[in-house]
Amino acid sequence: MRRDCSISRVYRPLLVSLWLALAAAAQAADIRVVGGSAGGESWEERAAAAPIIDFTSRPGWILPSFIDTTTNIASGTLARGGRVVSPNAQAVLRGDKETLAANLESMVDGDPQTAFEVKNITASGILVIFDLGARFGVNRIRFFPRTSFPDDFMRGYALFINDGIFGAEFVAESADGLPSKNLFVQIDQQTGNSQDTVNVQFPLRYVRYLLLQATDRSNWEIDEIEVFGRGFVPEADYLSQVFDFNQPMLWGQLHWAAEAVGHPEKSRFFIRTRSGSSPSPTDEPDAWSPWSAPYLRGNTPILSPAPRQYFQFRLDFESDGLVDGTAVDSLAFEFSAPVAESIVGEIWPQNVPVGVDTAFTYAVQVVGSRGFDHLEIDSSVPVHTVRSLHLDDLEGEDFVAESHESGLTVTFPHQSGNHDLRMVFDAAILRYETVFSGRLRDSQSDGLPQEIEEGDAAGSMLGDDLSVRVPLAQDPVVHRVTVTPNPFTPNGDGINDQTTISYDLLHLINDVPVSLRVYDLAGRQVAELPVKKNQSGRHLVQWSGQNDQGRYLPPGLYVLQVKVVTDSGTVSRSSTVAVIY
Amino acid sequence: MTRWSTRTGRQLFLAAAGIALLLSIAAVPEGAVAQGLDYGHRLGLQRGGEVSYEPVGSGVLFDALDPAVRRWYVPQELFLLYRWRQWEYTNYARDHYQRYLSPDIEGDYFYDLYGSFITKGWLIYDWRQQQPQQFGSAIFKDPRFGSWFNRLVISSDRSGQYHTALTIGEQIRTTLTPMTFSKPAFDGVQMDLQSDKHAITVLMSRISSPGRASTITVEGTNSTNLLGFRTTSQIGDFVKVGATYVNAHHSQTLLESLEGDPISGALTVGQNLEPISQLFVRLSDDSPTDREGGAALFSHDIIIEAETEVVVVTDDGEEKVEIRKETVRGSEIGFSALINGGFRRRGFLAADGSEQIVLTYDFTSENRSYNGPDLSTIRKVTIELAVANDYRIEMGSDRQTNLPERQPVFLTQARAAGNVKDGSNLQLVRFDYGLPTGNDIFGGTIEVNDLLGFDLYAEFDRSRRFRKYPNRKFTEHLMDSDEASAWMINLSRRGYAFFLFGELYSMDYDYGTTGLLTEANGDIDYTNERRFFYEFVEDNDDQDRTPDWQRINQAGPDREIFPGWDENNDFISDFNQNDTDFRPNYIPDYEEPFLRYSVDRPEFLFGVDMNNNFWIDRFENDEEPDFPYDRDRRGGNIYVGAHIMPGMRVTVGRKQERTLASDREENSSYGMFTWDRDIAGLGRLRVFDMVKLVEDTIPDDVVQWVQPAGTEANLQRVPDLLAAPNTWINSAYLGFDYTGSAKLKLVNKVKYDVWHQREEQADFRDKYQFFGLINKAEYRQELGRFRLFPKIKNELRFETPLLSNEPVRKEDTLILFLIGQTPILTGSEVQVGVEYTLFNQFEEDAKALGLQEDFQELVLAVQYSNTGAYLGYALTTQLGMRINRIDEKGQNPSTGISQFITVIAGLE
Repeated sequence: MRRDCSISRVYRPLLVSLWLALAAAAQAADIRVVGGSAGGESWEERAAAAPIIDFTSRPGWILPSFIDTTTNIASGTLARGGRVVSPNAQAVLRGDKETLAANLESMVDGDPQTAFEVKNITASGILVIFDLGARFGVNRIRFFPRTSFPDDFMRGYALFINDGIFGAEFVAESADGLPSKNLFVQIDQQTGNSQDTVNVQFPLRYVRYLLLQATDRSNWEIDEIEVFGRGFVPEADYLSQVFDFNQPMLWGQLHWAAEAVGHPEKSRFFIRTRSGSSPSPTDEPDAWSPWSAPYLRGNTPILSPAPRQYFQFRLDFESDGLVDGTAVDSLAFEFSAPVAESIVGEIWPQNVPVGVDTAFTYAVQVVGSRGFDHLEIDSSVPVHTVRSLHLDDLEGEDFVAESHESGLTVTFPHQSGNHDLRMVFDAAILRYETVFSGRLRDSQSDGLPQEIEEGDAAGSMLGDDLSVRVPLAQDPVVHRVTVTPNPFTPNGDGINDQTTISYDLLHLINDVPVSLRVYDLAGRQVAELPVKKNQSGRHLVQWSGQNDQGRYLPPGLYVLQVKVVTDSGTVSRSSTVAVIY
Repeated sequence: MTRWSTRTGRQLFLAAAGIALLLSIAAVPEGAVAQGLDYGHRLGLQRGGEVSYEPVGSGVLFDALDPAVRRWYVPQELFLLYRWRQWEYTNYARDHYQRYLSPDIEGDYFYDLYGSFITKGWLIYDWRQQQPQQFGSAIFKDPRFGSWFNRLVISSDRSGQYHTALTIGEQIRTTLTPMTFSKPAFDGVQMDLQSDKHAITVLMSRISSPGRASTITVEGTNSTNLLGFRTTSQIGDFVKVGATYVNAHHSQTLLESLEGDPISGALTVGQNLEPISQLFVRLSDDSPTDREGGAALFSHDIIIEAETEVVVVTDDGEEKVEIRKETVRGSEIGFSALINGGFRRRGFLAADGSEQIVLTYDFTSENRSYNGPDLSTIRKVTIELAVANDYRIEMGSDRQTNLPERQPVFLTQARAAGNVKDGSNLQLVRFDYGLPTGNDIFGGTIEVNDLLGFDLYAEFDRSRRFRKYPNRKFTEHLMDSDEASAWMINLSRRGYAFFLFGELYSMDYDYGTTGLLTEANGDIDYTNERRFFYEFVEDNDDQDRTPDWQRINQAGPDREIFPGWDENNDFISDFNQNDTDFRPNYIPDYEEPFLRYSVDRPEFLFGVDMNNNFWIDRFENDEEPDFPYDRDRRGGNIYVGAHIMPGMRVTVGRKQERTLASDREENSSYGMFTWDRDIAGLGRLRVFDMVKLVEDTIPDDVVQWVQPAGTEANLQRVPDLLAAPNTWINSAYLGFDYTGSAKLKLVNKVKYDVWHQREEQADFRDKYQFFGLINKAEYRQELGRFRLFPKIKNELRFETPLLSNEPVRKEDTLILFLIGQTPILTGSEVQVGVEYTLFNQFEEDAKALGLQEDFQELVLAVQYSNTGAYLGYALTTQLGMRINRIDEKGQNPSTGISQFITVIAGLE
């Protein structure tokens, strides 16, 4: 079959020069680049583990290994972490375990002088399991004795395969015991084989495990077993070495450039990062963060905690088609020195009624700061009022609070050293576990802002984190619908010509379709107001009393219905609105 | 043979011993007989002409009232039987020695619990449970239970319309209802009562160890017992109602009789031995393949309830022990879980795709500094989670492990309904942790027969799984349970010329008919289904006596499962009829020389595939209990039809189904035409067609009996390709068998399947097509004693596979047969046969595509066969040879030979 090498772009390729230009333009942070053809660090040299990653076919790029029909997949079994085992040969051959292991591995070592020999035995039925170390598209398996022992071929055998998914965990476990053949698919069996080289062909399919069973007691040996196929490996991982920055650093944004080979929808890759405070994540796992969630798009902030001295990333490639894969050109990440040695914050109260304006105290403890003058707080709910800002128990007056859609930014005189900040603001919480994450920034520096870590920032506050909860009773997703003013008078006199419909959506983490319809008292729909998809929050819609045709409705009482279509079902809540003239 | 001999020998021995006993009694001196009419209790007491063995106890023996110092030996067994006194000189010159006889030759004496004598005989079966004591559960099955009664005893009675039977056996075919209890080989006790309108059945078994016929009593302190019950009552002429209850629970004989719970069961000694020191909660994505919207964990907490005994001094100055209850939250005492895994999102942790979040509550770790109630006082632990989206929650502990590694095992606690990704199902869920102690099912049925022409069967069942938090300090443990439901309604009406059938059904994903078994020492391996799982409803797709899966105390696994492929019921697949245990045959009959004339490939068969997985439903084998409907499904199906003429009918219907714990569904509309007509003097005509419009995203994986040529047939897992996401499917079949001539037989069949994808699919071709045409002709010609059978078979196959990476097949196989047969003498005959096969792939380089290359094959066979009687057997002796030469394109021709001498001893 012809290999489809059509290349379609799914990500805009960014070259190293572009990274550097970006960094220079922003003057915000240093940048580190791996890969690419213009001076980035070498993918191969920066790899800690990449057993089936192709570094060579496209210089400067990495992509999952592509197997052509001439590549013997079995020859790389051990290098990939695969293995060759036999759960029952030792009892028949009466040798020691180490010798048996060496003999078994000689079947995939490419050495024509070594072989796995089974001779002068009294029992048939030896099983050999080959774990190729990864899944491959395979359509041919070949095995043969050494040329010096042409008559010692397998006269009776049964050959089975497993795709590495179906019951794979049981296959992996059973490699040391007798495996269940139900987990394998039999592809060939011969009881009177007369060919010294056994060549088994079958339609191309994914294979990870082979099970070869001898069914004849005559002498036999296998010099080499060869496995052939073609296509991209369905899964491949690249793990970077640990990057040591010699001091704790902040992480900025992550960028990458990649291209799809073949059908773009049939391959994908995932980038994850982690950071730590020790050089080895395996020796001291507690000193490292878990792997981050995959980054779905480029130019996105790095999610791993900071400041940390050590950083690592991994790329997981997946492919659904044999001719479909993804090639990654380069990956870049920003970093800079921290704003302070530590910044810890917490909020209080942490349990509040849903949808009710509440005064929150936001405490931040800064230790060893080189300087900061901005406090940025993320919030999924609007912050109405900043009541006060205290710095080391002194109420500040020369601060500026600016509320925006995604939170609040407070600017104050430049500070450095150790400080305690306390800010009191009002907000109405509409989602369980609403997080008020935040960061400190120094506008006089080129560095990155530093995230506030959750912790005990004020001894008088009990929470020690930045989350606020509302009761999880049987509140519907649509919590409250209000109409203000009500009634309203759309008569063009400039007074109460419009009304504002307000509704709260609770607990949603994605946008959901919302419809807002007006019915007369006979149940007929008279107007539908344009509404976009909404998430949790308080939403406001203006209505001028017009119907869908743009005509003003006659005076009267109308029913307003807010309907939300969620994955759990459709939820609606109604209110009445009066139109008078 | 051996068994017969043994039994016969034993019977002879018993008879001889009996005669010897009588002779020995007769040989007793006359005076002794006169003195010893009373044989004590051994031979019973005469009362009113009847021998009685009732217990009387020891009394005052008049002859022993002699005030001498010399010891008085009681004249017991040896005196009564042989007149032998321990102190008297023995001389056998005149009266010869008589050998000892077995005193228990007629068995033992048995008394009931009231002291009444039952009978003299043998204990065949005895199951009793006594507590509180170690090893209090005991089952004894005498070897005679196996040898005399072949592992089945039935005690029955009847009077008028009332019938009763108590059946004790190891392989009882038992069904209560299809969704509660159905086993082809129930090992236990079944009590039945039936009258004209009512029926009652009670099932009992110690399922953890039902015992085997042996001289050893199987005892244990821990056991798992089963209790089943079903009753039905006819109400009026049309309606029958029924109720069902099935329970399996752990039982522990160290408990007092009123402790424990016969419904929810008791913790075994092994479960209750040590306190739980680590508790695990695992959250994962219930639909991992979509890689998004998995479990979203917003918050978590642990609630611990403890009871301590406190000595208080009352106002009167007396000390009094009071039970003080204490409830603490982990968040209040600073005891939180160690969290591993999960993606940090805004306000929650997400487990999308293969990611998992594991919460570990470690009560003993120094780092986690647990400072709550002492572990020995904890009665209940509740986990509270605020979760959303498509979650699966499992729990485990260091006491819920496998064996012998003792690694924690997670058991599913909850799964989110549907596949929610927007957080709209955010809720607080709470689970009391505990170790499984039992499970039960209760339900009801209603049957209506021929009411206004309608038949109805409806069943509702609810299953419960019980668990209790272990603490050895307490004998009563707090219980929590998970519940799940299953129901079905079938309604049908048949009347010429129209018919109707409708079905509604639902079965929760966690509807459970599997009980856990305990070892006698109380250990349980929560992963080892072969040893520790007990199925109320077996997986037995081929409906034979062996369940398909392997469970303890029953035959299995069934290694040969080919439902529907054994129409002659000889336990051999009809596609490899000449396969035997001692001479296995690896060639399916449709590939084997000469046999391939009669046997056609299974893909040329027609059938109904309602779940759209490419397998005809009646041939499907799975690894699920044989419920009428699959778990985690809810749906309905209705069809109506009409008989257009005898043998011809048209059916149209609609099916809708969805999964409950995920977001998958099937909607299909279908129509079917069937016409089956025997035409006298001509043959049989069959025309079938089924057309469907399907949208199916529900996978129905199967495990099928597959036999590739040259390999041993075995079961292979076949995943459902979900080949009908939005698809037109048509399957048509036309068959005509000509039987108009005694000498000439013609068989013709054509099948055409097409799956047309209405939308482009990434891995599928737009159109899957299978066209198969088989034409066969067979003629019989007799020339004196010589019979000639010329045959011809042609198999044409055009197949465009569904998967786009599989090659198109265009194949034609023409096979010519000529078999000659002539008798020799009276019971012998010689057969000579030749078969020539011409296979054409219609492809230039078939090998490169992974297809079979063109080939020609010539087979010559000669066989001498003799049949005669020998030692009561019908002996068939065959000797002969077969030579086959195959010439494949691109290969050197090869010639093989097979020679044989075979003797088969038949019974008829």
